[in-house]
Amino acid sequence: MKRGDRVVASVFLIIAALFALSFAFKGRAGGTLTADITKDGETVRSVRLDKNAEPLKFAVGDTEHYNVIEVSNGAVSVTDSSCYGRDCVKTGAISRAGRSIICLPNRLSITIRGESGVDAAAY
Amino acid sequence: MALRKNVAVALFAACAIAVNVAESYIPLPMPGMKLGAANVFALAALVLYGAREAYAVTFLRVLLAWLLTGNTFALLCGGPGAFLSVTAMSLLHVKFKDSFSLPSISVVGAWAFNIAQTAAAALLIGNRAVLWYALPLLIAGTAAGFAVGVLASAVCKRLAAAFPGLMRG
Repeated sequence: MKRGDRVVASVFLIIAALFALSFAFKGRAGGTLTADITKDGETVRSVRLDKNAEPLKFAVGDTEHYNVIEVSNGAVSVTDSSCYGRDCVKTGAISRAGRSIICLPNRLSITIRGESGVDAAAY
Repeated sequence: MALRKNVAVALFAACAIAVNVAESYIPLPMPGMKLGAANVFALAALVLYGAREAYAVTFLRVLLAWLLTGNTFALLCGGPGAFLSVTAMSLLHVKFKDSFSLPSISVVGAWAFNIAQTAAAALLIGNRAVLWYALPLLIAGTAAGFAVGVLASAVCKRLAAAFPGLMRG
């Protein structure tokens, strides 16, 4: 292994450690979770993820660029989208703090945050 | 011989586009994650010819793959990614050739791609939380980048052996 290769390997170890740490923080979310839905960088809606609440279904956007969002059983998912590729739909349902669903074409993101400040720091 | 070099660049770019489009049909667990096998040809151009040729192969590949797939969002994130990636790999290959093996250069290229790609996505969405996507992408990028680097060094060796005139440009 050449000298530069060792540098690359060391940097990789740092990245792997950060990755592991981000998981350690994410798992510790307690309290009520909230899903923040942002479009074009602005929060358009915040939904509390309560396991016992009535299921919720609503659309964000206009008739041409829309995402249909479903909240049920303490989880949130995008069930329909006008976008190309539909990566947001394929992401499926998320329910843990720090997880997010992203729709690049519609500039939409859904991020779950917990009540504690730890999650804000980790994510 | 300039003509021979131009033909080689065009051939490399054509191969890269074919690989790029084929690769877009492989489902991967995260949006933005990819094998990056097309980078084999950018690396081969870098090793066999130089930085200018690597840029040419990458630029042609990104532009034509976009025209073929019509995926503008892949262009907006992957374009800056590919540019930064080629820049990082050229810098390492030209300035620090003796201390980095090709797989390492490829891994650094993958990291540069992942960082530019997530930064572009975060800018497009306008949410800094998107930057956290960089971590899993960097992990996958390391594995993919290493494999692509090993493949590229094998390709370079065989190309140089099969076409001795290739190296003379």
